[in-house]
Amino acid sequence: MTCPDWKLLVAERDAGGDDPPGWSTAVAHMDECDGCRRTALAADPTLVFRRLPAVDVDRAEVDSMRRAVANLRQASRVMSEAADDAAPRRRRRRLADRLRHAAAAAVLAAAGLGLWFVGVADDAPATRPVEPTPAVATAAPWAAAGLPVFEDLSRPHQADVYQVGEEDLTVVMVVDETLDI
Amino acid sequence: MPELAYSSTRHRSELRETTDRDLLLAIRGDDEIALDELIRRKTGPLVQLAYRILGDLEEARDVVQVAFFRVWEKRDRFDARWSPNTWIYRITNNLAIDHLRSRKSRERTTEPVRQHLRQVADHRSGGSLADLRQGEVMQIFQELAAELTEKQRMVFLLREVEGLSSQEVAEVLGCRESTVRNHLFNARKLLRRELLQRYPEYAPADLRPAEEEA
Repeated sequence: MTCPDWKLLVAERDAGGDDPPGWSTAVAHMDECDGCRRTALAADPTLVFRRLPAVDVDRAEVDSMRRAVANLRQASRVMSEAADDAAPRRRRRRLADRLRHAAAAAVLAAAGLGLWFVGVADDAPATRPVEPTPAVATAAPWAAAGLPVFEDLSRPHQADVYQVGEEDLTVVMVVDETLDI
Repeated sequence: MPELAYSSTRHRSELRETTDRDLLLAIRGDDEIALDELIRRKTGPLVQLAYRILGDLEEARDVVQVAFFRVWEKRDRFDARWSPNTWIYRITNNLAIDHLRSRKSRERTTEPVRQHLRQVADHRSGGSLADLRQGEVMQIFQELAAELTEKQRMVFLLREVEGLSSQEVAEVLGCRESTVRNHLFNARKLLRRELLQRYPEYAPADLRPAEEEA
């Protein structure tokens, strides 16, 4: 084959985007013809990248690739089985957590209700202009707290402060029967 | 006389004769021997492609391992209407690009490479691209390709180096042929410009700067 006009070929290729007719033959010729290679590279220096090194892959490398892929598949299978095994345990743990939270919520609700009841029992007389009697005072829940810590906190209110509690929890109740809430 | 019901050796030799498409269909049917055969056929081309994208042989091998693993994991998604090569190239290409992105932050400077190549050019008569060794061509390509967009780099490699048609490249990259041509045009233009700017000693005499000629 005679050496082609590389300038023309490269210009046609640049203009059209695709390979012009005769391109592949010219490139094959370039690989064999030293002079042609220099002319072609002068026309388009990027043609040098057609000579990027090829990678030689031998049988040992293919075998090594097979083993590596098999290991990846095995690891994936083990992980997927472990995830399947862990799923019921996770569900059981979630259920136990929910039950624990529900029980805690019930206890808190009961405690809240108790406190509310105490408040209602405390407030109920105050909604009516009824004089407290010694009998009512002794029957009130806070009576268990013992004697008021402070008596006659401020006038004209009749507020008494009760303190109930141990080391960890101390409840202070301010009782003013004259307040109308 | 008992009749042979199944022989993996016979099956393996049958698979050697089959087409890539039939091989992938067998893999879709959970045939592990077919996967072995695919690895035998495609390790070379895929490692080469990944190496050209990444410029590092060990990283290329790692990427190709994962690519084969993905082929197996996604085997039920292979459609017989697709070109088997483009499907596998696409998986490898995407993995290599991901790898490239994750590596960008720890990219080394290319200045020492350039100095080395300059010295090589000084020692050789005239400094011609035609005289460069393959390893040196690879170093220059890796340096210049860093200036290309991912798509431009892939189009250039697949079309110009791997020799795929524009249609095949479009299938691998999931774009139109006109887009492939456009990327290729821009990639060539940019590579030419960068090559002449960074390595004027390799430029043809009529394109060298005046001080170089003096």
